[in-house]
Amino acid sequence: MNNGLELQNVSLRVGSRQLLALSCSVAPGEVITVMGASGTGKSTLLAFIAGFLGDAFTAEGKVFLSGKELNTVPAEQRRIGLLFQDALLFPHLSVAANLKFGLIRKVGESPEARDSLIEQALEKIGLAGFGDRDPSSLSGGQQSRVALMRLLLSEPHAILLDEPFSNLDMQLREEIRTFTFDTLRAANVPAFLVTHDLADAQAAGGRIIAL
Amino acid sequence: MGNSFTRTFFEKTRLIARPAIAWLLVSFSTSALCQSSVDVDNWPQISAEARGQRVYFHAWGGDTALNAHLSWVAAETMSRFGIELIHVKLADTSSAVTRLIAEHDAGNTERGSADLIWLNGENFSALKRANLLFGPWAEAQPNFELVDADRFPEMRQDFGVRTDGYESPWTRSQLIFYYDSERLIEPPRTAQSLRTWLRKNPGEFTYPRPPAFLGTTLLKQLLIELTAEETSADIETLFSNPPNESFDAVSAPLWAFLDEIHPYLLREARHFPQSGAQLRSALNDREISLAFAFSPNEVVSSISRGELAPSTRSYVFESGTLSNVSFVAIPNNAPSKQGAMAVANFLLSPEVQFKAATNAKLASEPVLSFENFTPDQQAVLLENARAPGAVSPTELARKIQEPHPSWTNELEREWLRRYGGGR
Amino acid sequence: MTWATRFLFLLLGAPLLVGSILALAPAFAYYMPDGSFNDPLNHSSNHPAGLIPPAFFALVSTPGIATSAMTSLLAGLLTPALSLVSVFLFLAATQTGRASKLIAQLAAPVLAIPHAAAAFALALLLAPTGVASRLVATLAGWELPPDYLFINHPNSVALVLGLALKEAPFVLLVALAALPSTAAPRRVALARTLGYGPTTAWLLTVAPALYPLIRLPLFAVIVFASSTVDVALILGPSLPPTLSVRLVEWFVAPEIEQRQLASAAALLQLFISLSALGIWLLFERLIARAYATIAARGAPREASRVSRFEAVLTPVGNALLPISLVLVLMGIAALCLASVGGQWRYPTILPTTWSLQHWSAALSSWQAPLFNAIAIALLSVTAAIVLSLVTLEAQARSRAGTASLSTFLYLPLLIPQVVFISGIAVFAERTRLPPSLLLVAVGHFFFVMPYVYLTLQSGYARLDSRWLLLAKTLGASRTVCFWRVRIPLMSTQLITAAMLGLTISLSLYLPTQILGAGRVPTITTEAIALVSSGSRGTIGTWALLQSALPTLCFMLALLLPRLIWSKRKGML
Repeated sequence: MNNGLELQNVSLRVGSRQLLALSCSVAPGEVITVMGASGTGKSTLLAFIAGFLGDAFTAEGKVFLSGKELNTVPAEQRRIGLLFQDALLFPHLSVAANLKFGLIRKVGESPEARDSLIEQALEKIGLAGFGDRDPSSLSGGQQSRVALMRLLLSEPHAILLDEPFSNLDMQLREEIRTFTFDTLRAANVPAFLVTHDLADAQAAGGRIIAL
Repeated sequence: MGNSFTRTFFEKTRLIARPAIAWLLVSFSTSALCQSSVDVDNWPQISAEARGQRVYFHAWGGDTALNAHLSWVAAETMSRFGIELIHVKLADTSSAVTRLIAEHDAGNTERGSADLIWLNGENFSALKRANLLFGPWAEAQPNFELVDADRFPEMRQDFGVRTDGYESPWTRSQLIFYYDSERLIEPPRTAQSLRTWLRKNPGEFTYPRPPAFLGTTLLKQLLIELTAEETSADIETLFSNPPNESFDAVSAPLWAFLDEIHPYLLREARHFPQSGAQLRSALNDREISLAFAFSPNEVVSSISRGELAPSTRSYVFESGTLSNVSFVAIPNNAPSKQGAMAVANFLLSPEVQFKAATNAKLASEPVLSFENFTPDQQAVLLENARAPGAVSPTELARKIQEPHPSWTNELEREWLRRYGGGR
Repeated sequence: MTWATRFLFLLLGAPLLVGSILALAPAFAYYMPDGSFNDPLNHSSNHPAGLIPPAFFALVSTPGIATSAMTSLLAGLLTPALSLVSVFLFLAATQTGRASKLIAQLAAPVLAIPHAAAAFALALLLAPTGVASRLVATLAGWELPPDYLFINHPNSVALVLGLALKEAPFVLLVALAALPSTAAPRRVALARTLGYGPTTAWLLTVAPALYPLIRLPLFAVIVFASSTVDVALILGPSLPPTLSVRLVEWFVAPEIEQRQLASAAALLQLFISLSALGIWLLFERLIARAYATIAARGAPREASRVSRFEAVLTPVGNALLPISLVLVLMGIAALCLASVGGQWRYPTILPTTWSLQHWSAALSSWQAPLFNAIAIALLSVTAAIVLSLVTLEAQARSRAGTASLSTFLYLPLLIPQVVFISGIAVFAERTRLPPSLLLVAVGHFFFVMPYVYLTLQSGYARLDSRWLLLAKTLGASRTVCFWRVRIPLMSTQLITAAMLGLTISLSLYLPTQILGAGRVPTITTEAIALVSSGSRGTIGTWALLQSALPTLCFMLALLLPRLIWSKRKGML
């Protein structure tokens, strides 16, 4: 299909052992969940899609995003966003600077326009006025929301989520989960979720692929 | 002024040298213009060319008072003559000699690192032998006549080697002994009485380890004195020539003497101080009660600096002590020869000599004789001679000439062979 | 290997090779420049048949050369041994508790003090007219100083002590940096459940794991201790002096025969340093075997035998290192006293008059040395940082291996300074390069580079790779990744590397002296030139001046990160 993420005959090996083989396509706004135990190659799959496959692995197959083949495109040009277990907000930048980090620079855009964009983004996640704060002073939930917003501000064409809720405690997990998937659906991009928690998969609401 | 023979000689060669040098200048026009033809007799031209030059003066930098004195000289040369004098502080004069030889080996004949070097003795004779010095120039200086070299022939002799105008006098020094009069009533005034005294008072004396200059000086002093006692040979001739095959025989009394006194020295001669300054501080700390220095002002200046107690007294051995003049010389590859000559001339001026003579912290005597100073200056000098701890001029008049520089090398070598490897 | 790594190999390797060859070649000269046969001893009668180069013959005939060589060898072995033992015993006894953190914090500023200054401090303390002797004199009622030889004793105990006082903190900090990767608490806990006491447990289980991680720095200590010049001048024996001191004396002597003798001696020095390394490696094997034997003996059953061993080792371990640090600090205090003292005759503990003459004399002549020292340090460190970052970044981007380069970087530390620095000086002479600040900075670069590179390399290794992944997914190009992610996140390591490099450059003596030909005075060269001045005040003042700059750098290294990242707690 034109929009969306497509995996054609993707096969990952480590040495001579095959980790996984997969073909699928993800429509915009859809979240596909890949589930499996540790060591089955879930994270490796995400690394492959994002363009970071380690030297120990060999991969076959193709990845298409919005119709374009990605195999020869370097990672920073793929427009694929990654959400990790930890929020990984840059500790040396303020909250606003973190959000600005991935913001695509548009020609003729003034700094004030960018600042107001950031402020709007902060309002959207309920952290209005938090722009100048030190990221380490934010709570876990707040950090997760900022991380997600940072991701979205980079206008990705696809999003990969690597067990993003497993470091959050039970109460927070529900709240952040709902927030994340609502936001993703509104953003209308294809998403790949990797998790071992069934509740995550159910909240995602899309197809579930078991490894 | 100066040696008429050298003047005639120089004038004769000038007639031939000038056109040849001019040709060289034309052919190699990129080299510095002031290199090839330096007319030492044309003093106004030299002063004019010296203005604006930078003179690197390589001189021992271990004496902070001397360094300060040279800073003052540098300020004066800048304000009076427009010459930038830079004192390159050496840990050892021989390193300047090494550098010069290395530059010569590498073919550096125009941009040497030194313009003026403070040296004497073996360092001078080594450079003169290797033809690495510029000259002759010294006797062409306006101030040279103040030195009265005819009356004081040591102004033209450097450890028995004729200077031939290749170096200009700057300071003079003499070996003196000093002691703490609170701990020692009657110090030994001959080598023999030194030995007797040491036997009864072990650990009260030592000397800097050769090849430190002061240590070798003591060796020479003892050697001359012991040889004079033992033989009736002509000491002057013996020592103004280099040592020959009889060195072992001549120096035997010295080694016998040292073998006897070493066990009675400080630390039983298992370690020697490195310098005269360390010797002085050992005296001050009462580790020893007798020391020596190659500087008549040593005690006076040290007392004024608080480095020696006011009860310290100095003296000269009965049969005299070694004395020498130290000079400044200009290397052949010096870029600023005119500046160097102007500086050397300034160093000989009564003003600079008086400032040095009355600087309580400096360790040397002027090379200008008494008459060259004004009556006011003379009064000050007389007053200084009466300060506590000063050596009386009568004692200082007992001078022994330095032996030929080769004696230094041989004595050092033999000392190192016998004692340098430890017990 | 990336192009950057190859470039670095060449940049470091070529001068090392050329310098060493130029320094050692004259030893093999059979003929003088003027064509005559080389006869350095001037005793032409019984020169043996031509196979042995004359310079070597002269070297062997030099009085006391065997003693000099042995002294250097001993210093090269005893210093690291003493440092290693005191550090390991200390770590074993304190088990990285609170005491060890305190001592580690104290050890770091001691590292900043240059070797020569520490040697001066020790001499001021322990000489017969030193502070320690004065204290005893006051108690025992002495009037005259005792006549004993400790500093400058032929057995070189004072030399080893002076070196170990500075090397032990270095080994400590290197060990502490490597300790986390040994999982020490787990090992010790395991051994204790088997019946070993805590100190013994640490020594038997953690030490063997920790030692391989600090081997290379220890090798650098071995080579340094066997070839040091400035500390040997101050604390080492003089009859005869150590090999390195004699080597430098010969190198600066005017006669060409002495220069050749210096080259032969340089070869001997190289041989001695390598022998020290070889003997050390032998000892490694022996100790490894001893460990195996002890381990095979099994756990102690009787509590008494355990506790006896523990009872001796633990207090010794607790005390050794702290005592050495206290010694250094006391020495510094003595230097301070000396620098403001006027009259200070024996046996008064404090100077009888106070005077600022030493400081005013020093401060009137410190501008040029200070400027030179700072300029050289900044130049060499900047070059080292830039080159290191370029190489490391190139390696990171191409995912090439780095092990060979890290080991190679130790080479300037494993060849005695005096050997290849004198060779570079000869090279500069031949190519008419004048002695200048720039040339000295180049010389310093070789000694600064290993430390800077290794510090930055550990920064690269420790950086969480996810930061860069994240940045890339947000569209950051490689340049943006480097400047806006890697550099800020590595800022602490950058500051540490810079300060370490600056400290090293500021305390170097031999490269400045030889490459600068005395025309580039730095605080360190001025201080050493005053060794023979005999004036406690002058020596104290310059030793303090020499220590001031590195200590300042060290404090900056601690404060700067805190200042820069005061608003970003996550960075600290």
